[in-house]
Amino acid sequence: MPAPGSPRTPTNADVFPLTQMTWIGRHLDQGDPGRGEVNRHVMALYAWPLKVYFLGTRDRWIGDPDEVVNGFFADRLARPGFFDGWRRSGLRLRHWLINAFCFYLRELKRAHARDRHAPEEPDTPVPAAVERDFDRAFVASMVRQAIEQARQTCEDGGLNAHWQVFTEHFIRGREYESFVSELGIDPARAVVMARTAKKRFQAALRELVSHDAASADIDAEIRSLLEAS
Amino acid sequence: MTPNPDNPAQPPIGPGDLAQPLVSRLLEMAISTPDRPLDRVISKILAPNGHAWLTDALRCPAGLPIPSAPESAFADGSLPLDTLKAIKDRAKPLALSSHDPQTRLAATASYYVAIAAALVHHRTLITSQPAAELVAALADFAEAAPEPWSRLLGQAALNRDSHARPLPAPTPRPQ
Repeated sequence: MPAPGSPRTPTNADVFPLTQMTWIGRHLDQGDPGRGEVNRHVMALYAWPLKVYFLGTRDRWIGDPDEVVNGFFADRLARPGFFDGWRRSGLRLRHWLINAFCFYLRELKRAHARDRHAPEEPDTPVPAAVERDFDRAFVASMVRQAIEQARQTCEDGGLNAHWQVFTEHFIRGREYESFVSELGIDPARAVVMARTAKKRFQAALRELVSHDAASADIDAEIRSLLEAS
Repeated sequence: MTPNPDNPAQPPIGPGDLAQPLVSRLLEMAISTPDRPLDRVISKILAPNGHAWLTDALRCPAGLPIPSAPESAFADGSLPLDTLKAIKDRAKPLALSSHDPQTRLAATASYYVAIAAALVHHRTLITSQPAAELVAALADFAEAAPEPWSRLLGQAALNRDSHARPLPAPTPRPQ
């Protein structure tokens, strides 16, 4: 990950066939409605990690983190060629976004200096811990998004109780016997219900991983995220 | 954070609410598992007449005759532990290397049902399969299987999952 203003260049780990970028590519090809869908996805998934990144830099004086990140999205996502640039870059989407965010921060600092007729603040290196925090925040954001999508899928399929069992056991870490009586469910049945919901969660998470990296090998992408976080 | 409209008492989970070890565990969950022989059994059960096929496959598990209907032998717990071990031991090589695909399928089903019955009715683990792998297999099998197999397999997954703690008392056998 670069210091602000120092763009990341593609590495072997980043490069993947353009044809693999199915979800985002398909939506972008649909015109404005599809573009809106992509923008919503990007804002929902990447706002938190970008905020974490911003809070780790020495540029916090620029402004309120939420406003800075929202300003970034408003500025960059509105640009017609923003995602085309990403598609040509060979970068993972999160790396493309963090590059763009670094440039955006630099632009804000320039504007700030211009307004005050003061010299521009020099760029300062971003500590390695901030990069790690960004990666961790990205993974956490993706997992949270997968939780939300799987919850919605279960709800749409009339599997609310299945989702509740999954949440209690796999997310809150409770033993089946400690909560199933509250739900009026037999423990043996709860194991099966949790399994059903777990598959919805796995599918949602694998789909989200494919949106960011779009590698043909989703398992390899997940392993790389596990290492990064 | 906005309240969860479906359950106002339960706020939605934000990214900052997830501890790092939990995030890693949940992420790891999404790694695909290699194709198992059991997956072919599950496909068979989910196909037309699959439920009847499963009960038929358990009438003479791994070529060993059993003294009663499979429902009472396995699900109600009338088979002694030694018989379950014998079924499991005969089923394993058949499941892996029989030339007949139908025999492999039936042997795989018998293998897991025997392990499940031993766990549930005798509180005994008769396989060295790693716990996580076995729990996943039993739960997947339970999800696809009809009753009374689903309950037996689900209970076995639960028992194996709780292996670190004392296993619950065996289910009383019907008189």
